[in-house]
Amino acid sequence: MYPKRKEKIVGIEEAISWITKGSFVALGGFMIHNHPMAMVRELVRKKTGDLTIISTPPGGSIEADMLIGSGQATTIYSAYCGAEALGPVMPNYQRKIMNSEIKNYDFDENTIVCGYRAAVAKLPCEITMGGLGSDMLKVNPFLKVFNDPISNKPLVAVPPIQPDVALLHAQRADCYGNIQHGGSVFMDELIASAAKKVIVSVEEIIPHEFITKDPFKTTIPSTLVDAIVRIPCGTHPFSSHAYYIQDEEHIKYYVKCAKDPKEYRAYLDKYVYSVKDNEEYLEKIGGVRKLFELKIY
Amino acid sequence: MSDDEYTPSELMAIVLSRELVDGETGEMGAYSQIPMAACKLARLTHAPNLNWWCSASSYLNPTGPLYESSTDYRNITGAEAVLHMNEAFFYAIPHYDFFFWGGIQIDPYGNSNLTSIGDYKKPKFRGPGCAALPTVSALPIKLFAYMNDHKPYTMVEKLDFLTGVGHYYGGDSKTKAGIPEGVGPVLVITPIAVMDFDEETKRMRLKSYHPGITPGEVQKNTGFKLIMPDNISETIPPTKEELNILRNEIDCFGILRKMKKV
Repeated sequence: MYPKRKEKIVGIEEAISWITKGSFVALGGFMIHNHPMAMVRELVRKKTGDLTIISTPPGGSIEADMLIGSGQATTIYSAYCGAEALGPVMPNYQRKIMNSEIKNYDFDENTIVCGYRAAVAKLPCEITMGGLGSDMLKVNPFLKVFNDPISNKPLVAVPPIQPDVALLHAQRADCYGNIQHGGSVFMDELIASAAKKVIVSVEEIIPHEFITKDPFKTTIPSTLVDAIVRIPCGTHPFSSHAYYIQDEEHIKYYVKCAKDPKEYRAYLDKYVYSVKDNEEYLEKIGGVRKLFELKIY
Repeated sequence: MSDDEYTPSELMAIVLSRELVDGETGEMGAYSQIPMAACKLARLTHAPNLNWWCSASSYLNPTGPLYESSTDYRNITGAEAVLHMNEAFFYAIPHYDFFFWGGIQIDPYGNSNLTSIGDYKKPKFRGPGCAALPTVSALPIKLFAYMNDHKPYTMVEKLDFLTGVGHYYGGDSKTKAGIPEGVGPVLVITPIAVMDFDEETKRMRLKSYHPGITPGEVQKNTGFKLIMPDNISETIPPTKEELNILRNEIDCFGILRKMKKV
């Protein structure tokens, strides 16, 4: 009998328990797609607090805004926080920056990519020309301009960005943590390479043989993944590439509620605090009928 | 709406499409219905060899209908290749010929602000962030700016925050600051006009005013003095053919028709 290989499927509570007060948490997905919303709602319920978050370059949206609006995140590294045409700037993010209630570090998408790459390569910094001349360099203390000894011209040095935990949402995984994205991978693979611990929620768990049948389809190898959580429809109200489209009505409703602290508190009560799991949440946003409406691929 | 009428967004997409050069390669950011429509239209009219990456979803040359989000999975229809975004930074973006960008403010040199209005530490208005502007502006490529609002407070003499470098402060200011020299902003399109840049001073110049608008009105809605050359003309309105292709083969869901009238 051969020894048994370790499986990585865990429940959502166990996965989220890896995040503790003061953790540095990276969030995957992009714009209005593939954000790990069910895990974020669980994190908000858990009231861990004092989190530093980094939203995907550049496409942070409700996942970042909810951690800020619920008071769980006190620091954000971000290049963008909005919902495209559905809400150009996320309201809690906007209000808390305007009221100096959170610490905000402005990066652009490339400087975040550089930070992740420096972490992956275990280098003290990654270099880029991006940002020269921009006020981003004046306001972000992490980014340093130096004279490159080869060209003798200015360059930007970006220190490593290494999150404690990355929360990602993808479409499929086997029990060992091999990930398949149904559509775009966005920055998930790089985030998984940079973070110390990687948790991926997936729409479905597939047999290991489906992975080995076509290993070219593996978008993040199991070597980078620490835990898999099966959460069907775990990215609602966002789209899960190739599985369902974004719930535009709900995203607009979120943006409307988030503009007013009182209405937002009611939103959190209804859709997060009073809900015990993602299934109950999905009932509240319209249940099977709504989910089938969104399944139009 | 009758067949010959068009919305400002349709006009902007059509005018931008005419500027795209056959054989060139580029990309747009998120929230970019107008640039996506422009690329699709250019490929179906004068530029069959135009290559474009569909924002961060990194799909090459999608041919399906226009969607609101440039990172929507449905954009994959007709795509020839897909990159991971991390790969795109390495070997797609450095080879671009053009990029589309916007902002909440733009100045006479085509520098753009997407980050904040007022004092940065206590802003009067907070924008979405820096997105990709600081990096894209360090590439020696053509930048097409599109602004959904042409008002004295969006077209300003001095930005509250310089997110993306355009022509910086003209002259040799770019070289002095160590910013790679290159083409930079070539065109600014808004719901009322098209602007380009004076070759000498690198300041914004009126190129054409849209039908129904006068040059005086364009200046009145601009927060700085526009260069007014002698040969300003009216923007050439969409042709029947351009509108037909745009509506029947690209914007099948009427996204540009439904966009906020400015």
